Amino acid sequence: MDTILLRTNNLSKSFGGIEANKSISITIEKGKITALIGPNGSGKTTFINLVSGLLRPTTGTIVFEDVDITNLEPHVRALMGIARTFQRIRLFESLNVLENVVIARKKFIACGFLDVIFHTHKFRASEEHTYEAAYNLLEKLNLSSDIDRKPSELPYGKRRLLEIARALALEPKLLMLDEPAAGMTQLEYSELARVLRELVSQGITILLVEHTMDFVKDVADKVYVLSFGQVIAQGTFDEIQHDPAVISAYLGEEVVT
Amino acid sequence: MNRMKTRLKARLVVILCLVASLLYPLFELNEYRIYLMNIGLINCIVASGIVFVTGFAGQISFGQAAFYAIGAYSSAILTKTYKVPLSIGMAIGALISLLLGLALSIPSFKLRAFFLSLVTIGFGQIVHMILINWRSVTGGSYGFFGIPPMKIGGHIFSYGDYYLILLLTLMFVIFVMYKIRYSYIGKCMLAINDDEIAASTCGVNVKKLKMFAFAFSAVVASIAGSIYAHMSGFLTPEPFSFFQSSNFVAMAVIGGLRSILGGLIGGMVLTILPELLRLGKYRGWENYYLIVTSLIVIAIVVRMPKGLSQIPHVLLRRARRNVS
Repeated sequence: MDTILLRTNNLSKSFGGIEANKSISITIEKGKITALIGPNGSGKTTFINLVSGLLRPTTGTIVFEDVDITNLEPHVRALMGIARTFQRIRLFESLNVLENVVIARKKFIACGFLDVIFHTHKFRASEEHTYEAAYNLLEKLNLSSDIDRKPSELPYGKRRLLEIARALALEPKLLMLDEPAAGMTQLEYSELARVLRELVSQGITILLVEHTMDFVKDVADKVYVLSFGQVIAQGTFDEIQHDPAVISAYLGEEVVT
Repeated sequence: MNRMKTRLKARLVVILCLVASLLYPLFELNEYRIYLMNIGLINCIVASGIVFVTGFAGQISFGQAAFYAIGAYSSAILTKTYKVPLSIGMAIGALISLLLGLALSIPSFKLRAFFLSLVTIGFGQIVHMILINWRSVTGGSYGFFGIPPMKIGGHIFSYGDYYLILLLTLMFVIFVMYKIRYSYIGKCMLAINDDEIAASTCGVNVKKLKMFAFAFSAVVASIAGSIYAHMSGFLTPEPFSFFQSSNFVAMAVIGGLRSILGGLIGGMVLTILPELLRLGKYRGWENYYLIVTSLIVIAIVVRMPKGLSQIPHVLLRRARRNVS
């Protein structure tokens, strides 16, 4: 039991008549890279939104480290250690690169409103400490030369990386990445794969939503395949690769003549 | 070294401006002009609250005149009808506004932009209707008379004294805004303004910050309203209508929604500009001054979408370029 970080029990979400997620039961093991794949519109992003709290499930529960988080607010889940990135990158465009990361360090800031107004020693120390931690993180991801720039000035690959840096600033236990390799070149893939493996070696568990099969094959320990909101297969990449249900979901049924 | 020098110079300019504005009533003999400045300062205070809630936290409020009214009427009714000490009257007005500001922030959890502004307009209208129709308490459209003025010991406040009180209040409001803006709290507010969803997944308590922003702007407007009530001695519902709310928003926009000095600049410009057209050198525009004011407002919005507060920034940047 101790090896399971997150589990969902019969998680469902409907939008009007459309069931985006149908009774999904998934377990995510600690220290592993779990991948969630499936054709477009199969409910992968809905699942991440349910786990991060941006959507509330119609039925079912989500358990994180033996705590039922189904009804918790998104920011509470973030502070508990569930971080995520978005399919369409969402950075804070009016803040600079460093400040983007600082936002996610809030739980490490130990001063209140009055400290801010009176500019107490505690406030200055915590501010300095926060910026230092954010800078160190950016340095690890080779973004430290861009700290004063606005996110919009960065090239695409760096914007992706900055979003990951911001998620890591929470010091999460579970990191959910929504199509991180989308639009990346082969070279950028392998760099991203290296970063992910390093994160896992530091004890972070990763849930990966991905389209790029080569990438999933490279990094994933376990794969769940979604189709029309349901889990149709699970196992290692090699196991699901030849599953007839998976092949038909991706390529369509064989035409019988 | 150069940077230190420009910073020192900037600090000097700020201090000189403060001293000059503090001494202003000593050199101004025209009572009406001081009164006008006081109205300007009141507008600056309320508009600064809008800069805080709309410019920083990204929540539109077209209901500021309601909080302004609550401050004015609570203070007036408590001090006159119930003979409560003035400072307590003001505090109770601020407390009511605080609670209503918190309540008004609740719709903002779900509603954005147009829908939220409709809610705030509705709130403003409700308060305005109460002022008109609850005659036994507010005096209705006939007005509420005989509000005691502020005084210290036996000295009844003159317009010059109100000027000082208002100026200090405004300075305090801007000081607090400045501290918040450049701390992590202000950055979290800007993050909410940019992308609420991303902010919440970064661990930012979006609801709490919205409540804080609404409450702050409400209390600030309420205090300005209380001082207005004691200064003018009588109240009618008329200056607390939706028109006044949108006027406050216009001030914040003209001054610069994202700027700490936006409320100050916009409030002063939109108070003095119509008067200049009506009286002073440019006299003769009596019949048209509102039209001309509106045209100037439109021109500023079109030419300078970031507001008049950009002017010092642009000048400063130019000066720096010349130095280096």
